[in-house]
Amino acid sequence: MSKALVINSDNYQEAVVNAGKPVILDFWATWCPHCKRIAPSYDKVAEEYEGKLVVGKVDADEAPAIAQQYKVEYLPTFVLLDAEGNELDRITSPANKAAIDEFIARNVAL
Amino acid sequence: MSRELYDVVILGGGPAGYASALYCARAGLKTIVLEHLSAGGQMTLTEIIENYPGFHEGIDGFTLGDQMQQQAEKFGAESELTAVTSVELTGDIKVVHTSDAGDFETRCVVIATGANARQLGLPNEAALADRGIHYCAACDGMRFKGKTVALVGGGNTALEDALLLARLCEKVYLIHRRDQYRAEKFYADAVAEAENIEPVLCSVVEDVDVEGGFRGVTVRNVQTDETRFLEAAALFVSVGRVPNTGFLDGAVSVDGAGYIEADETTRTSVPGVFAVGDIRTKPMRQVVTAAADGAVSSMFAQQYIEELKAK
Repeated sequence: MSKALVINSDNYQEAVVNAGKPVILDFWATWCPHCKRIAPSYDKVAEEYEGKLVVGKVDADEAPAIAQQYKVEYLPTFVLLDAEGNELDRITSPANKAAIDEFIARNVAL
Repeated sequence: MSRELYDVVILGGGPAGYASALYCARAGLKTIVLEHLSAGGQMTLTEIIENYPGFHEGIDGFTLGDQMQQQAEKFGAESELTAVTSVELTGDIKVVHTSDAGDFETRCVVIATGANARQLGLPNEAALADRGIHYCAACDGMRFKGKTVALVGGGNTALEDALLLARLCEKVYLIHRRDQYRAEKFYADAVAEAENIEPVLCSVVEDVDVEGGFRGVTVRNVQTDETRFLEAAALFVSVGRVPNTGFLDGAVSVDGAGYIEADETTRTSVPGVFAVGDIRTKPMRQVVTAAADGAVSSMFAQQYIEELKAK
């Protein structure tokens, strides 16, 4: 069971746009091996940053409009947004949780 | 972080690591596996594994890895999701340092960190992995049946891969930086006879075109500096493998290619340290041989711990 918040067209506005805090989105797909391998690390990120950062994941096949909106070309792509919803930075295929932690720390003070 | 002393800390959660964990746990050893991604290691990149005994219809590597983890944990092995940063292997108590889970003290260390395909170093190569750039012809070749593909490399494995792809695909561009292959004559002759393999010698991959999907590869001739675009549905990279030993910092003996020197007992140059799976010097690197190593390591780990306690 994913600990990251599943984002789709139904909850995008409320969970991402109106979050009122920084958001990280993991764009992934079921057929992408590295997406699946990094998933347990991302779940740990969701636990550790709970309350400070919205940790969401977007299945690019289930919610293609959101993936298109963020011009996601590669999977997995992690996009970090500030509290106003502006994109701060993105990474593709981080090696492990340490790389995701570093990516977050580099962009937002939590 | 202070925690109990482990009998065995296993670095890497692929088939070798979890087979070792299964056997160590069943032998009553306090055992933990440290893995920085999901269980399964390299086999998670394989859509279907058809040569692991017992799964006659094949099984995907991700599921097999998950089941190996569950099986080891059922008998008491623990797992921690973390990256190993460095190790202290001398002495009776060894220490494993991690990125975010503190230190682990242990009597034995089993190194099961595997090897990764060597990359070309292209921009966005990691993101294109499995989406146009592929590292395992045997795993992914079928996806390009009837299409034209490119393959880069010149060793035995590369030519073997090219021959495999030639049987599946309409055409194979075989890109190699030298004017002749490093592979043995047997493979070079077979490639020369294959009508649908076009050698692209003295050439290196400059770039890949992924505009609206993978379109092809730009190569540069290293003698003339001319570039050429090869239309292809995928680029297979077969330029060797890199054993994951960086964190060891020379603590155990490795061979010329960087693999840890250990015989069938899996014992390394350091007492109490074992090497299992693809990281070990061995003639055949497969899921089944990795799992076998894991089982063997448990026997010698037990023996070592008994000797240690008798000291």
